[in-house]
Amino acid sequence: MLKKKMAGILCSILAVAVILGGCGNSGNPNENDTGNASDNKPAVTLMIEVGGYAPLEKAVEMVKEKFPDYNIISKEWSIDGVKKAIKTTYASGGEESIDIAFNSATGILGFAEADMLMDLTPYMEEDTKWSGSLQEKALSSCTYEGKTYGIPWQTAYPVLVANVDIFDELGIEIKDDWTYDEFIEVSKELKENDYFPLGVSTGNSSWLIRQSYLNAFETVEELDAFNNGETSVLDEKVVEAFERVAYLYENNYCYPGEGAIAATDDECKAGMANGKIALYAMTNGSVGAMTEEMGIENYRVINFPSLSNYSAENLLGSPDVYIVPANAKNKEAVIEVLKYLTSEEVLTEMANMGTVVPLNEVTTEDPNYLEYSKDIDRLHPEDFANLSDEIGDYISTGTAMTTYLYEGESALDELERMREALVNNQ
Amino acid sequence: MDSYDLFGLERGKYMKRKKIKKQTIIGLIFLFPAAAFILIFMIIPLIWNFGLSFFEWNGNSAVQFKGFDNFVTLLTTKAVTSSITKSIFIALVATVVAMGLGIVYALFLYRLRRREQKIFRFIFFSPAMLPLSVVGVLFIFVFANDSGILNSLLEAIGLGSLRRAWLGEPQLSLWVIAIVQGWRQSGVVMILTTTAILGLPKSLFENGILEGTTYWEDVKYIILPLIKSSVNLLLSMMLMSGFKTYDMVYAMTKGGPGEMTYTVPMKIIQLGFSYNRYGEAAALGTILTVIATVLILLSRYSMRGETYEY
Repeated sequence: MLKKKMAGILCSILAVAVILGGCGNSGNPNENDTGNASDNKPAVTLMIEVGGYAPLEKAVEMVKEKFPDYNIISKEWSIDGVKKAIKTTYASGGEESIDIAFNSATGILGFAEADMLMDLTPYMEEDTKWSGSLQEKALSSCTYEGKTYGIPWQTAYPVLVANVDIFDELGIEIKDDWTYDEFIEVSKELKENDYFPLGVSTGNSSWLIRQSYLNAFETVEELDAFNNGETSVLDEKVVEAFERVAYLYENNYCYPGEGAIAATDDECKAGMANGKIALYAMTNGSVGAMTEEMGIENYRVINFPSLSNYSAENLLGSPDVYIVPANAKNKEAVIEVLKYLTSEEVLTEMANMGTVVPLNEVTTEDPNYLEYSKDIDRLHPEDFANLSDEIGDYISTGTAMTTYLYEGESALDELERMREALVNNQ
Repeated sequence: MDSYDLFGLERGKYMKRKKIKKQTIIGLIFLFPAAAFILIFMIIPLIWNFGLSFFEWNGNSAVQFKGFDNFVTLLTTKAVTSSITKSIFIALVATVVAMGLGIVYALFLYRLRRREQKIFRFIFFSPAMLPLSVVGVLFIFVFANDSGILNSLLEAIGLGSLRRAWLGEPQLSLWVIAIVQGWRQSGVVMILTTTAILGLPKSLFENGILEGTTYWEDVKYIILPLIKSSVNLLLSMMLMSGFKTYDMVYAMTKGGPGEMTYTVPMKIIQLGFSYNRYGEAAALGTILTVIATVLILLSRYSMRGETYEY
């Protein structure tokens, strides 16, 4: 009887402890508070830190040092997490809000259409020193219907990292700006010698088709018409663009051969580290960190090929931007922090760590900075994939290309349906 | 004497009613927290979601009544109907795998001695203890194309021709996800089936021993018919769980290659949080609920039969 009573008491204590523990602070390791709520400091919540990406960690650290009077809360960023976080805090209408987040310039369209972002135009017009320090082209890609909804902090575009040892072994010359035919010839030779010409992870596989159709047209007018949704996706030039990319996968030029369209980041990095891949696709800003991670010492950064025989002028890419949701609290404090995050001081520090920043004048200690930023002028942010979130997802997630590989031209019908629906609604 | 007896009888009935009433009140008090939780976090959101299905809402502006337009749009969009098909496929295959493996494990465990039973019960149940996302990530390493464990094993034993892109081919990746999901759930089926089998009276098996029946005859004629109600319940549970598949798919393929393994829960999140089409997201949730309910009712109907008391 006594044992039963003791057991009952112990269970009750355990239950109470669990309840109290569950009701306590979530202790989210991704949240870093620099102050207590009782200090009455204005709180600014940042959702910009990406685990392991040192430049952003440094930027947050600098903000915390600069603004000791603010309660700077930093949350971990992820591409899906940021959308959910902003939309749920917005819909809940509660005290919690994300004050500054980062997104690609192309990704802010959905937020802007739903009036979920703060219009930063008045602040830019007021502080011309701040707005004048940033590249106009980068700023223009953050505007929607004449309003500025984001401030760029990085210009990202794809590059190829060539394993020089492989090319030296086979006596193949590494060139910038291979045409499509030249690229195929090089790929054939590499494949015959049991190397995979190209390593592209599934998350980046859309780069191939986007680059291919950006350079599929002979005139600027034709390209603009396509990017504006005026040209059918079933147009022969677009279909040819898909065919050119499909050829790479069908001939197993992409690592690891079968199922390459679904190759993960880790698989591709392992393949590159083991010397199986000759050319690895990555973003310009991550070259330093990734080559170090993969242990590649003898490498060369070259332009991402146009995958076309018509044109090699255009390079896909766009700035990554900071956005301020319209429900941000403490707006003045948020704008102050935003200005500092995109100031010369912080951006120069990030440039020293390998980030290609959209400053008009950059003075950096990184000797390879010019290598990572040499293609900025070729960037063509206008992209068919930016027409709508749905089209963007369909292309950027690799669905369009995957479906084309497995179902052929009929796969473009869905994309055409989306284009037509958008054009009819406009 | 009669009036005295009547008085005693009435008093007894009154006391009994009072006791029942008191017990009912105590029972309701204990039930209240759970009922409130279910009402606030499940029933009310379910009703709200059903209502939102008939409206258009982008998360910021006012809602607009759309009637059945959301449902029509969804059921005529190839990507959505494809995700529904995939969800049904994964639910059915995972259920078959979970039930098959779980019942086989339980029948195997029943033959073991107590000590061995405990060890194997732990081994078979351990996958169910792991979070879905952990299992998903684990199996990425197993099914990786170039240096994955499975492909490397096949290569090592001379079956290199069977190497496949397990998570890279659309149809194959669906089968892989469904089988892994089923394997993970089989532990739950095993535990509950074992419990049901252990609850069977030994006397039923004694007759079989006397008549010289084999274990498999016992399984066929005694065990399976008598645990039918438990199997029926497990079938419904596994189907429900299969339709909610999200973590496993996200961890293993993120819905890829492309959107080839995009299930309905992923599509709902995409519609809501990527496209700001909360009305359509709610409508898709309603469609999934209806489909899952129909399939579960069908499975229960197909498993109906005589019930045995023992």
